[in-house]
Amino acid sequence: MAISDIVADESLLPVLQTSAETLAQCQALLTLLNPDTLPNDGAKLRELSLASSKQQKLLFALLAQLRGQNRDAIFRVRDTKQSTAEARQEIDRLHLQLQNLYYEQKHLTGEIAACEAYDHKYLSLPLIPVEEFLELHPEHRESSEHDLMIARIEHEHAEREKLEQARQELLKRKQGLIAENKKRKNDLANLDQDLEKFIDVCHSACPSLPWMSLLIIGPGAGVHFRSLASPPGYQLPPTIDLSAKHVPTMTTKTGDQESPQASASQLDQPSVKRAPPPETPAALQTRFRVIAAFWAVIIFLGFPIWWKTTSIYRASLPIEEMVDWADGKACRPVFPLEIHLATPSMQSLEAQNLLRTTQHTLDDLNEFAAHHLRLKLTDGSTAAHNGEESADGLRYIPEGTADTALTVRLLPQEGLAGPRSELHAATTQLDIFYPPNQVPVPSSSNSPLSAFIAAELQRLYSEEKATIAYILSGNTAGLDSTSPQLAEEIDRRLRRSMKYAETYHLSFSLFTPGSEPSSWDIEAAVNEYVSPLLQAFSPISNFTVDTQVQLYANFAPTAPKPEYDETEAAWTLKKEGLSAFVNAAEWPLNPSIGSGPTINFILYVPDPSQSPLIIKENRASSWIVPQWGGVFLLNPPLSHTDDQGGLSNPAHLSQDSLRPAFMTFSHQLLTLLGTPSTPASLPLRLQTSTRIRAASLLLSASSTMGSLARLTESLPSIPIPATVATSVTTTLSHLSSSCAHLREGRFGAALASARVAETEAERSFFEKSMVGQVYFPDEHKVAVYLPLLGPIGVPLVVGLLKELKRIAARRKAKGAAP
Amino acid sequence: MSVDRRKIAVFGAAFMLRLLLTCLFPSLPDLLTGRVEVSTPVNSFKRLQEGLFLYTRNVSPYDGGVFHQAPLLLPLFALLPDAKSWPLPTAIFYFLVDLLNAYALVTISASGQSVKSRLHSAVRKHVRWDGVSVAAWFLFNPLTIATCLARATSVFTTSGILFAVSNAVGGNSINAMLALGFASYLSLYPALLFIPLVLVCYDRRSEGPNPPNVGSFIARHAALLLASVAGLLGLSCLITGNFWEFVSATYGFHLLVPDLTPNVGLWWYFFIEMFDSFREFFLGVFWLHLASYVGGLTTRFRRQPLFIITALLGVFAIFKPYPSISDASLFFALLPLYRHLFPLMRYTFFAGSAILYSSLLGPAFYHLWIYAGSGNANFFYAITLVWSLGLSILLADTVFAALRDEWEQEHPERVGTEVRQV
Repeated sequence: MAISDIVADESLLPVLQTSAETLAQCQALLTLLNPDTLPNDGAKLRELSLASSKQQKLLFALLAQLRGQNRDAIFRVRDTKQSTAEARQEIDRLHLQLQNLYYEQKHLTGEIAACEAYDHKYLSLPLIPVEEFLELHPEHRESSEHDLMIARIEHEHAEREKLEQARQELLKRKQGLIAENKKRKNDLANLDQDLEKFIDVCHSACPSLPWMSLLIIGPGAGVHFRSLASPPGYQLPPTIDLSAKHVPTMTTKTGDQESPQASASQLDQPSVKRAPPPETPAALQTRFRVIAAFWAVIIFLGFPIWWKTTSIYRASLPIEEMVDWADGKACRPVFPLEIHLATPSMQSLEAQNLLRTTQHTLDDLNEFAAHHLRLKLTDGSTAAHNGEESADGLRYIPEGTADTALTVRLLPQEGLAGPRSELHAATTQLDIFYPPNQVPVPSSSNSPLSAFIAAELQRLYSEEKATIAYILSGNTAGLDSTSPQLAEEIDRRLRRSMKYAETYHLSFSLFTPGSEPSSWDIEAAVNEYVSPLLQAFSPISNFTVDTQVQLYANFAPTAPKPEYDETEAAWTLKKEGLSAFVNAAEWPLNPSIGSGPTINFILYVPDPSQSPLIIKENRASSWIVPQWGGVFLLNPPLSHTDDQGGLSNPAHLSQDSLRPAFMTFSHQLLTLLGTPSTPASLPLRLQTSTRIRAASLLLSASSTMGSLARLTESLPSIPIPATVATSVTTTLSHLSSSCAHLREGRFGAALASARVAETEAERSFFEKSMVGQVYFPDEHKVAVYLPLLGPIGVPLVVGLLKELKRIAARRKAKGAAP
Repeated sequence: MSVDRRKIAVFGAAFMLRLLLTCLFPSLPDLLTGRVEVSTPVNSFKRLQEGLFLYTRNVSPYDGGVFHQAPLLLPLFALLPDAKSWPLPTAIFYFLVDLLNAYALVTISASGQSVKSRLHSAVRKHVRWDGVSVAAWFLFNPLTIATCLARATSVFTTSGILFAVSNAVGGNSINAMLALGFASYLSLYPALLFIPLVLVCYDRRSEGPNPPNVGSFIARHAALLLASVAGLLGLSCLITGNFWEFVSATYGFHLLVPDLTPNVGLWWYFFIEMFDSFREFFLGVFWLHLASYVGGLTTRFRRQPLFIITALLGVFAIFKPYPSISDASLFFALLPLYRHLFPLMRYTFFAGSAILYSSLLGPAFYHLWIYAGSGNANFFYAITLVWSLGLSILLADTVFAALRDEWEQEHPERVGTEVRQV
């Protein structure tokens, strides 16, 4: 199939045309240069070469055009893909809607079926037959079935109501009869009482009937009376005065133990239950006042105290914003690195061209959108200046301008076959030497030099990119090109390095099993070898340094002893045994000083009898203990001290002798702080470290915000003090400023904001007064309140209810009286 | 003349008994001083000595965080010789304070206000003890003797209250208010007695010609009380120099109950167990509970204001934050004034047994818990519960008897009938 058949797109036709032209041009050139027709005459040859170079230029022009078109075509393809994807999403959405509609339809059908099949009550009503009904109501004869049914049901309803009314009337009558009955019975009972009293009176008057009084008074002696309620208007018969005088003699006779006073009142205690005399209005009023006094205390003092002491202060938190941060909706961290390109010996047009092509190549190479390199042209002088300025890598650049990540200096050098790069170890400068003839021509869209620069930059930042991708996504899956070794390396490094902290404590310890060396030039060594590094790290974390010397420090009894190796002429430690080297039980290595974690550096000087001490497998003398610190075995030159030829360590370790150890320690410190191992330039690594820390702090603070938001949502009973709200606000503002700084490439400022954000986030999350009540659910409050307030409350509430009832009853009585 | 001789005999015997106990058992006062039943953080003599030591060396007495008593006690005790080397003068001073308290009781009893006041007259007026017997009850009560020997500073509060009452029943309302101000200044809680005390004064005044207006009478006396307390506070301020420091160390200590040393009350155990976040709330509840009785009892016993004071003292002995046996002894001191109510009480045996049981077992259980280590805090707390239960029963029974007395006065025809509480 011909190519013109396959490619039918309008926009691609020019490409085809151009490529055909190019092909023709190529063929023309080839024909021109056909060795068979090559003339041997010099003048002709020159002519030919002129012609061929002309042809060649034409060819180049065509090629350039073709490249341009190719680029366009690729862009168009991307656009098309994009629009296809959008269209497909739209279709998916519509499809989903369709399915929803389908389900809705099914549901509705089901509902309709259910409605139709509904078994209504009226179907099972025992209605009178239709014929009977029609006889009763002939006017319904003509009406439809529906109306007829309604009429029948209404008829049934009316009938039933009539019957119910009749039933109620009968019930009332029954009640009336029962009441009548009761009243009669009461009358009878009263008659009984009167009779008894009559008998009493009669008895006192006729003492000849003692057995009768025994029968009647005896049971009465033990009966209590109620002190609160009584039948109104009860009056003793007038004869009682007379009778009372006689009672004492009589009751003694009947064996009653009551005192004379007590028995005086016995006469008004009949054998049936008796109520006490009525309460005076004054007593009622007093009781009302007592209850009111207690309730006044409860209402006017108790409730305000309860409200004041148990209300939970919950400051309002911007929950949605916090959740947005945790979900990564609020900020997508990007890392635009600004790279300055200094071309002191190039024309500005050439330089522009080079810049453009290199940027193109870089963009094509990059596959991780969040991390990209931006080239920028500077003239040589500012570049050098910038390079010096950012020598420490992390100094803040004035607001508004981005940090310069790297300065690339292009220097022409004669006699080079291809470009060559050289990275300054102490500054952020990359020198690229190139043969002058490789300067790309303005028309060309690609050149070996730009490709070289792009590849070099890509290589420099590949590890950082992988690390950031790892942190942002939790794995390296997002980056296809990351080699498994690199991924493993990053993973290992992150596992080995300390968790980020605001402050690290560095502890340098000198351990020796003997009495010497007993002093070391530690202050000078720290100042010389460690302090510059700490200075450089100061924007990332704070450090404190302390040191100690421990003599007679022995190995743990369980640790494997060093063995003498004849071939090495040295004492060796096995690699497997290194984990037991540090005698954590006896060596005074503080697990933590103050708030931050401690990084321990141990300088171990072996006993003269075991010197030199090295590691068996690789003759190394130092190792890292992940997330804890580093160990260095120092074997100082031994000296003869006594006559028997005994060897001893020097008593003092000078700064020079400490040099290898402290170089190692500073390297270990870098590793423990999670600084990447590439590139070779320390400032670049620090910059990388800054970016990585900024990214991880940003993520950690955001997720802390999310946790706090979830916590406050799920536990509505915990208090939120105002300080937490302030901390949250500070965190959020610093998070957003950090994100903005990142976007503009000011990583130092971004890290500073992220640090503040992280500190505030931690403070708000671990606020003490919140934590105290987390485990105090509402239902426990019942257990807290009831044991004391229950017993106090019950009599008060009951008293109040009784009083209210009494008042209500009196109202009713008043209302009924007139 | 014979009455006077009896009085002298009782007072002298009480004095000699105390002196004898101090001389025969020289270690007894210090032993009692250390007992938690007698010495609480707010009345301990030991703490007073600590404060005194700091005070005599010109250091703020509240700096040590041990001393929580009113500052005016310091110059008073600074006048006495050192209690460590010369224990007798201090002891005799305390004996004399006890005798003074007994004298105040005699005055109260002699006034007869407990049986017959302006609005009330007991049914069994004739059933009563004379002042000397009441004083003897007080002076020979083991609780009083223990308090006196332990040199607890609550005896000064006791004298403040007793003199306030004795002046009130004697019609000397200004002195009564000054004495109550002194007691309130020392221990804060006697201020709650203001309303019943003013009622006593008012009733006394109203017995004479042209009774004063109730509102202005109360307001005048409240102002008097406030003025006396303010004057004492001003004096204290002169002594300590730092007003807020001493207020927070004394009254703040009373109100917020930060010291949960075991005592015979109900607060310490409860607040040890309490969740911290509810502490303030329950402090409020406990204090309100204590204070809420004032209103209720005052309304109910308007006709016997002296009985309100007695009942409230019983309530304080049970429910106050740092109670000791001295509070109970004050309650027991006023009870014999109501001898006429004794026949009406129903559970005296039960209450007496509970109190005896707990006062004997309390020290034993405390020893088991603290020294022997074979018991725990619940042992002692259970005993303090029994103690409070005994006091509560006694108090409730007394209140019941007083109610019954009032009721019998209204219904003379039913005197002596049995009753059932509903």
